[in-house]
Parts: sequence; C-alpha cells; structure tokens
Amino acid sequence: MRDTAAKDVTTIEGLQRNDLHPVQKAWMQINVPQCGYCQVGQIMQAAAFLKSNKNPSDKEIEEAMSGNICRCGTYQRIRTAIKAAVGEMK
Amino acid sequence: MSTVENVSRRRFLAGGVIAVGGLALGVRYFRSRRESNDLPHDTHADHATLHPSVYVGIDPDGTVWIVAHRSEMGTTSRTSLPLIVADELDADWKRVKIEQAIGDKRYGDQNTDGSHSIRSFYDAMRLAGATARFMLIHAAAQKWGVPASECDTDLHVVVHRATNRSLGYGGLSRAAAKLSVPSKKELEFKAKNRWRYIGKGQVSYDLEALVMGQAIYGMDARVDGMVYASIERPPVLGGKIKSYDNKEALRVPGVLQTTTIEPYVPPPAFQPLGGIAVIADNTWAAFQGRRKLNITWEPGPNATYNSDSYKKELVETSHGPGRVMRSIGNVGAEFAKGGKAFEADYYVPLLAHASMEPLVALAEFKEGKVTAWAPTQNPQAVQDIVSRELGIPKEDVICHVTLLGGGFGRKSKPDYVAEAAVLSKKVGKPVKVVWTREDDIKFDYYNAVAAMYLKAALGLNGRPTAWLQRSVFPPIASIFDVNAVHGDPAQLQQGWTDVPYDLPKSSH
Repeated sequence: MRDTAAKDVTTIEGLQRNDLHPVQKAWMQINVPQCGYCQVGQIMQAAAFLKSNKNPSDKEIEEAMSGNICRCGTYQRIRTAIKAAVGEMK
Repeated sequence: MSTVENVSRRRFLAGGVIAVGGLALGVRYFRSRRESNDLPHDTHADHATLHPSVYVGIDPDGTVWIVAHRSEMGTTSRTSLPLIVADELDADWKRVKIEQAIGDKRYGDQNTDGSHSIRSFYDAMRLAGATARFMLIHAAAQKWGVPASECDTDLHVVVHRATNRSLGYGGLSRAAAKLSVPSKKELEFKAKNRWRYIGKGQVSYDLEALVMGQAIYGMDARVDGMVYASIERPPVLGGKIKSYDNKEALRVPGVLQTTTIEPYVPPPAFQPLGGIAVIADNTWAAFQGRRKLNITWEPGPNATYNSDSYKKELVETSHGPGRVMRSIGNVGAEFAKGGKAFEADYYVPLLAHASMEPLVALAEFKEGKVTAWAPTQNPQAVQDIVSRELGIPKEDVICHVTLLGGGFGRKSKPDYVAEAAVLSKKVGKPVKVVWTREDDIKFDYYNAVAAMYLKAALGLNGRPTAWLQRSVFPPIASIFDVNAVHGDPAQLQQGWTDVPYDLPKSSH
C-alpha cells in the first residue's frame, strides 16, 4: 500500500470508459473465467502490460502474466484472450 | 495529486444485509422483503404470479425467475441447471433472472460436491420447466376455447397454429396461476430435437459480472457494524490453550479485543478447532495482532503424531492382509505357482485443497438467530453445524451463498462458518472470519495420505493372471467417528474396487 501513496491507481472499476476495455471484451469473447476469483487480477495485469507493449511476443505475454496464478487453470484461454485484445487494440 | 479511480465494489454493499444477498450472485435485483428476516426463505420465484415449483416463477412482465440451489465455484452449474429449466419451459434465456437459494431443505440436496449437480438434478429441472409450460399451455387453451392438445409453445409464447394466434408467457401467468399444478404423468416433455439450449453451449450467466469485477465472493461480503477476526488455532489437532498473554496484541492499532474459542469435542466433525480470535476493525490489524499473541499450548492427544512414523505404519500395514472389498478367484493360489510377479509400494502425501479464495465467512448472531454469508458448497451443512454449536433450531440459521473462489470439496465443510457464528455471539457484532493463505493450507481437511501395495503375476503372454492391491489410509468416516478404520464402499467404488481392467483373478 505504501507504494501507492500519492500515485494514480486504476482498479477494475475504473478500467472501462464508455465501453468495456478491449481486454475485458476479449475475456468475454473467449469466455475466459471459471470461478473468476483471480480474473480481475489477470485482466488488470494484462491491461497494464498491453499499455506498455502494443505488440508482445508469446514469450513476453508468458513473462508478463507469470505472476498471476489461476487455480482453475484458465491459462490457455487467458493467452488466447490477450492475443485477441492485441488485435482489437491495433 | 492522487486520484484513486476506484468505485469499490464494496461500496455497492453499503446497504448492508440485503445488498449482499442480492448482489452476491450477480443478480442485480434487490429484494425489499429480504431487508428483514421475517421471510427468510422466500425468493422472487416464491412471490411470482405463477409459481409451480420451488425452482421457478413467472411474473406478468414475462420475467422468469429461476432458483439456483447449488453453489457456483467455476463449473457453471449455476447457469446450466437453470438453463435446463428454461429449455423445457421454452423460455427466452434473455428474460430469465437467476437467484441464488439460501440453505433450505425444500430444495433437496445442496451439497455441491462430487460433480453431480447435473446428474442429480437434470430431471428435477426438466420437471420444473415442463410443469410451468403445461400450465401456460392450458391457460392459453382456455382463453382461446380450444383443446390444449392443439396448442404448442414457441420462444416465450404459447401458440395456436391453426388460427395463427399466440400469447406471451407474462400475459398468461395470472390465468395459469389459477390452474392446479399437474402431476408428473400428465406432462409432456420437449423432444430432444426441440431443445434450444441443452448441449448447444452457453456462457455463464455471471460472465459479465466476473469480467467487470462485480461478482461478489465470500471475501467481499460486508454488513454494517461488522468486525474482522483472525484466529490462532492449536498447532496440533485437538490441542488446547494452557495459558496466553494478549497485552501486545491489544496494543496493535485497530485491534478491539481477543476472545477464546472452545476446543472441539472429538470427533472433529466440522466443529471449530478452537484457539484465540483477534477481533479488529480491519483484517490487517487482526493479522498483526494475532502475531503478537503469546500462547502456550497443551498439544493434546496428537502430540506424538509424526508424519514419518505414521507413514511407516501405513506402509507396513499394507504388506499384510486387510479387509477384502472385491475378490475374483483365488489370487493367493495363483501367486503360489511361483511364476513371474511384480510388487510395488506407492504412497501419496497429504494434499490441501488450496482454493484461490481462502476460507472466509461472515455471520451475525442477533436475537437468537444467525444470518451467515459464506462461499459454501453446502449451506444446509452450515445450518446443521451452526445450530449444534449455538444450540438454536436449524431453521433459525439463514445461510446466504456467495460465489466461491474455488471449492474443491473444502468448502463443503462448514467449520469456518461455525467460527464466525460462535464469535458473533461472543462479541455481539457481525463477525467476518478471514483465513490467511497459511491457515488455509495448515488447517485443511486434507485429502488423506495413503500407502498402497500392489502385486501382479504375469502369464506367458505378458498379461496379468492375478492382481492384488491394498490401500491403507485414514478414512473420511474418521472425521465423524473416532473408531472408523475402514473405507466406505461407496467411496472405494470411485476407482479402487471398480478397476476397469479384465483381470482373471484379483483382490482389492
């Protein structure tokens, strides 16, 4: 929490503007979540990552997302959705 | 300048009790009746104009309320069971609203454990849908003055094709409600080739809420005036507090008090394990205060338990004869022939369920009744244990079911909800018990250890002529009966005695 002092923080509630964020759209299109508990973190991680890297390689996606654990094992769909979001954001 | 773009989802819950009940499920429709606990069991479906089953109700505006009575932890049964009702009813899925049931025996089995929600409730869901459809058809037939046999349904309407007339479900709901509920043998179920949804693939009813961060889990549950608890439990199962000092804990800002929880009376049977709860106005303070507790434990009857020696005992036991659960031919005689044989020992360690969402429960004890909100796989078991722990009738325990951040069977065991209820009674406020990840791993009802011994004799063609397998493990029944030593045949049928291979002689 200390690290966020005097910083702008965007949470899932602030991610979308008028429409869903491309990452959220991709998440729906690919039907990513199962229990969903980790998905807010996955989505925010992906959205933040794609802000700094508009055209990531598979390896870069892998690395960026490696800290987010999903107990349901939705990793394949997460990967597919991120690629779909990259396409959408181009 | 700092801007935090966070309309916390928790803020939506500021209304208290009712908001949790309504929002918990991604059903964004609040019920004023639930603001009081006067009618704790009712659903929208119960109060709908046409209400032919506990699972379904139809209102004059055409809204179809379907009750999800099983818990949702990612398998999407909260969507697929209502979908079966909607299909049999020929309802428009877009006009269906799903509401989550509280724990209530009128719904039948709610223990969402063992992967059987569809298998066990497929027929019940079709029955609910077909019953409503029957009544709507008969109501339309009466209005038109034609035989019901000439009428049929299409998407959310009853049709009379001969005269090209149709009437919507909503408009028919009042007339249908006046008819008597048909018996099962009067019903005609939809032919498979007319199914709209079953087997066609459908995304979760909650998908948008999940993706927008609006889904409410047990960890999100919140009511006005609640406090948070973190519990230091006995490091050895069955241990007791010998003495403790809470002075340092009470100095932590945010910590309000500490309170003890009685140790369980064997067998464990989902009772709280006992210990000391640190009550605080936020989880962080409760966690920090707990670290400052100074407790001397009386380890109790399991003080000498040692994983290595227990393993040794299990492995040695597996080398001698046990209770035979399935036997074909004389395995011993085949081995005695002295042909080629193989032996092997296997051992599986304790396995924690490790749900993504650690155990958590919110409970309020008020005027002799308990209202709980929990990510539980078994709300009726919550009613049972809370009723036993507090000595109140089961009907006075209302358990709301939130979404679950994983369950894996751990959340069928209601011990964590009992902790919250016990603490709420002691503290006089709603209490939310939050388990840390470490608690979740350390105080699990683990998948048990097991030592297995296998021996097989091979014939000249390389196929087994005899097969012996033994497994030694603490059975699930020992949770409820300290003297239980053998596995339950029903559980052994899940892979141990129902070995699918064609073995001429075998012993299990």
